[in-house]
Amino acid sequence: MSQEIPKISRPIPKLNADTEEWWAGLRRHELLVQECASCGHLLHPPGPMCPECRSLDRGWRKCSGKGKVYSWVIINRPMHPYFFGKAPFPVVLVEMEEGFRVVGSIDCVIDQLCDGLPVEADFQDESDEFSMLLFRVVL
Amino acid sequence: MTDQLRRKAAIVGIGATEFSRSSGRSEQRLAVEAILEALQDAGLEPDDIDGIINSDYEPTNQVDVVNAMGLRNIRSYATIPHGGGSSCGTIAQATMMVASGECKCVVAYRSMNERSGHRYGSPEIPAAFEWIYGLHAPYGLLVPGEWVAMHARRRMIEFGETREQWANIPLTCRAHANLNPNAIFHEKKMTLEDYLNAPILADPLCRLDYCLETDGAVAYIVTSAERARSLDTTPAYIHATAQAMGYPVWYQTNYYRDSLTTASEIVNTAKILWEKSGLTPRDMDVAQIYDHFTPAVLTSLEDMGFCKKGEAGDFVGEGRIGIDGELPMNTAGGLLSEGYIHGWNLILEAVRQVRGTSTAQVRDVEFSLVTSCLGAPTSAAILSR
Repeated sequence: MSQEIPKISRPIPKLNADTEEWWAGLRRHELLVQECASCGHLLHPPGPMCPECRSLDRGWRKCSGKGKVYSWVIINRPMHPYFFGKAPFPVVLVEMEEGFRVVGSIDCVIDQLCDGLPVEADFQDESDEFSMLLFRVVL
Repeated sequence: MTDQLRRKAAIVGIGATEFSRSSGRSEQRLAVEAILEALQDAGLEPDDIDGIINSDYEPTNQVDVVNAMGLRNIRSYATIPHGGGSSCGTIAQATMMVASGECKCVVAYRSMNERSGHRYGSPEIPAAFEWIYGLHAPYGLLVPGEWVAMHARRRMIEFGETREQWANIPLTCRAHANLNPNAIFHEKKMTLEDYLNAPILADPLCRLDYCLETDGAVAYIVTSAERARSLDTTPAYIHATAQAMGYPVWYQTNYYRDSLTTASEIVNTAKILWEKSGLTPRDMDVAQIYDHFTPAVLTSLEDMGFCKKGEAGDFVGEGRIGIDGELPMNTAGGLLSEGYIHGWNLILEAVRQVRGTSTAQVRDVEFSLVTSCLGAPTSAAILSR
C-alpha cells in the first residue's frame, strides 16, 4: 500500500480584519497601501489606527506599481522545507513610488540586482485564494 | 538630576551550566543548576530569594523553579518581554524590585536547549504565519539570519562595507573564546580565510556571521548595595540600566522605518543610558555588545555612540575591539563564539570584568557595559566596581 507523502506548501499569512484587504488587493492584482481617510498618511504594513492623527477611519490607495530595489537577500540555504531545492533565489525590499517599502519576489538574474534597480509590481497566483508580489525589472 | 537607582543594587552572584550542543538534561534542570551556582557564588541560600525574573521566551516556568528548589518566600515576580531585547531589561527590573524595598534578593535566569531542542534558526511551520511574519514568509524570509541579511545589505550599499571589515567581529569573538574554557569554540581557531570561505547562507551573511545555537543556562542574583557589601563576594554595582522601544519596531524585520542601518531602539536605549549614568561611551572600559549577527554589532556600536554612523566598519579594525584595544568587546567570546543563551551570558561576562575574573580580563575596569538585541525593543546596563 503506497502512502501519500504530504506536500509541504508555501508558507502563507494569517489574515485579520486590519490586513485582509491588503492581501485581497494582491488577489485582484492590485498593490494597495493603507491611506488614512482623515489625514492621508500612507501606512505599510497596515494597521488599525493612523499613527500620525490617530484616526480609525482607514482607507486604501491603489499604487502605480513602480518602485526601486532598496535591498535584497539571496537565500542560498533555505530553512523552510517548501524552499528546499529552489535556491538560490532572491527576495527584494522595494521602495515604491508612493514612498513606502514592500517585500516581494523578483523575476531577474541575480547579478542584475543593484541598489535603485527600477522594478514594476506584477502578481503571481499561488492558489484561488492567495496571490503574491512578483517584481519585474523595468528595462 | 542623579538617577535615584544608581548603585542602589548589585549583582552579587552568577552561575552557569556548561554550554554545549546537547545538554542531555531538561531546561528546568539546567535553570536550577545555574541558580544554585549563582546562590553559592553569592554566599546566599535558596530561602533568601524573594523575587524571581525571567524573559518571555523562557521555557522554564517560574513555578518549575519554585517547585524544584523549594522556594517558599517569593513575593514579587516578573517576566520581561521581547526575546533577545529583554536580557538587560531583567537587570532593570531586578534593580527596581530591590531598590523599592519590595524584595531583598532577586534571581533572574535563562535556560535553553536551543541546539538539541527547538532551534531559533529553524522555522516553525504553522498553518499560517501571524502578524508581520506573514508579510515575509511567503517569499522565503523565515528565520532571523534571512531577516537580518536585508539590513546587512544596506550597510554595504550605504557605507561600502566589506566582508573583510565584518570579519573583525567574529575573529575577535573567536580569539576571546579561545581563552575561555566554557566557550563552545574554546578549542577551535578561526582565520580570515575561514571567514571568507564560509558558506554564504543568506547572502550577504555567511555562517560565521551567525551566532551559535546552544544548550545551557545562566542565572544571576541581585540584592541591595548595602547587603552586597556584607557578602563575601565582589559586587558588580548596577550603575545604570535602560530599556527602550524604537518606532516603528518589529522583530528583526524593521524594513519599514526610515533607515535600515539605524536602530531607533538602540538610539533610544543609549540616550536613556547615558543620561541616567552621567557617563559617555568613552567611559566604558569594556563592552559586551549583543552579537546575534555580525552587522547588528556594527549598527549597535554606532547607535550606542562609540563611533559615527557609517564608521563602525573601520572602528572594529586594527585591534580596537580586542583586549588591549580602545573598546575591548565580547571578551568571553560573545554569542558568536562563547554560546548563545539569548544574550544572558553577556551579562555574566560583564560581571566577571568588574570582578577581575574574566579569562580575557581587561585591566582596571571601572565601567562594564552590556547591551541586548538590536531589532526588537531592547535594553542595556552599565555595571561598575
